[in-house]
Amino acid sequence: MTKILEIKNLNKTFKKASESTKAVSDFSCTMDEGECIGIVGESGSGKSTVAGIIAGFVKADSGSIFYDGKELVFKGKAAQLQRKSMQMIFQNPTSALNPHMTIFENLKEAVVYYEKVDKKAFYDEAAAELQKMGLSSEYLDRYPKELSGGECQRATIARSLIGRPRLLICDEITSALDVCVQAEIIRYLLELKKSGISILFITHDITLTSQLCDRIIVMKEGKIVESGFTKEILENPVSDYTRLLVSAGY
Amino acid sequence: MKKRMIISSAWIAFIAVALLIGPFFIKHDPYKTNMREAFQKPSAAHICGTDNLGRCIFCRIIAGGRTSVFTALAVVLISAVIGIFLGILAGYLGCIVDEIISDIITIFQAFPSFVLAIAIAGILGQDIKNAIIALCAVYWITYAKLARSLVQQIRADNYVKAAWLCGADHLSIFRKYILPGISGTMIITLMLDIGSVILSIAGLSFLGLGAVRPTAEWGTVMSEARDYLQKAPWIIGFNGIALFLVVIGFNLFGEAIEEKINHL
Repeated sequence: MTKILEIKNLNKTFKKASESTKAVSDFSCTMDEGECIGIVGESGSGKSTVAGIIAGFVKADSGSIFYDGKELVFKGKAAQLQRKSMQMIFQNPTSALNPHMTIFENLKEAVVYYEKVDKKAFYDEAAAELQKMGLSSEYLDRYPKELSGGECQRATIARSLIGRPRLLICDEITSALDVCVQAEIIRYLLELKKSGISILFITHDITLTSQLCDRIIVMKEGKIVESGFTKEILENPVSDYTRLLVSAGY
Repeated sequence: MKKRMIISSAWIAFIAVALLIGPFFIKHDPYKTNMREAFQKPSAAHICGTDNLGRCIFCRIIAGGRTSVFTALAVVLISAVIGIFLGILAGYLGCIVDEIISDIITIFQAFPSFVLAIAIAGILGQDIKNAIIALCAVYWITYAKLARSLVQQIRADNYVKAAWLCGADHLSIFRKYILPGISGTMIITLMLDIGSVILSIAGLSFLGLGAVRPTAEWGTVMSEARDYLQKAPWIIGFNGIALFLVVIGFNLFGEAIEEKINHL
């Protein structure tokens, strides 16, 4: 199996005035193509910072990330081009879509910068992608504020997938949603996983990983506490912190 | 909401028409003195009376309105362009550019705004162009601060991050994300500022730092009239009413736009 992602000794400290917070400390992991890895931890454990660094929104202080065998950079057009086949879905679905654009225009944004888009053909493609997410083509002409949180998240997922990414980073994507919508999203992610997309699933709810993830990385205060296969960790957690997360989840 | 928009739009349209074509229809020359008609009370011949030099107050209000309103529009537009440009630069680029622009804003904010305008106009000398410069030096700060904070907020939004990940360049992010995000608030601020700038121009002119006499400008006219406040109260009275009606019109229009934009 080819490695799609390899992270080596990632470090990040946020400095504000005289205060500094170590968000990520010596984080390393690898991810195979088509694999789903869950990063689990409480709020402030550094999991979203890791996601932000991979996606290029946050610059790491030290360490390196290899995506598809190439080391990722953090500046300029090269940083964007390297992440062309990477997409991220965010926690707050309503802030993930441009409120001044219709859903169709938001979806078009995912492809318009790398390829010439035929509006008519893309409209059909976008409608099909929304359909997969359980939303009718009528939604394409609506604005994000006309959609519920769950519908927005589905539209966001559709936008992330329309460019056919190889790596999907899901940052707490079910946290703001009710249980029914959560279940639907997880079911859809399972389908995606079967199609071969690699998924980095970030969550504070360890129970969600049991359905979706092949492996889990447990983080606390920026450090990896424990990592391994999902089943192993959920059934025989080694660290007290993981045990606490598991017992809190079930 | 609709009612307020219709009324204020109609009122602004009326003011615009009155100021644009009014001077071509007025019976008397607003600058022509006629000592035999000095201090005439409002009558059929002069509906707002005459001043100490026998000039028709109504004609001077129409001519003065042109100076006051168009000068205010110039001040607001110039301030908005400068402020929004610098605010966007600071908010978007951050780092050293943000620090420099923020420091400049802090320096300008250290002075009470009207006092600063008086000082600048005083140094530059009495002229309507200098009044425009002085007021622009004060008003750009509002736009810069607002644009900076809005841009910072939008830049941190997930949809801009998503756009970056999709390959959007700086120009596209600016055009499709930043500009639509700040334009609503900026238009509202601009509309609401017009009334306040008209008052500031009138204030500077009243203090002898704006339009040069005998230019018909509401502040100048009121400044001239204060010596005759008891003898001819209609001079200040009608000018004040005109100033009030125009300012209230722009404020109502600004609020109607604010409601409209916030409702979208």
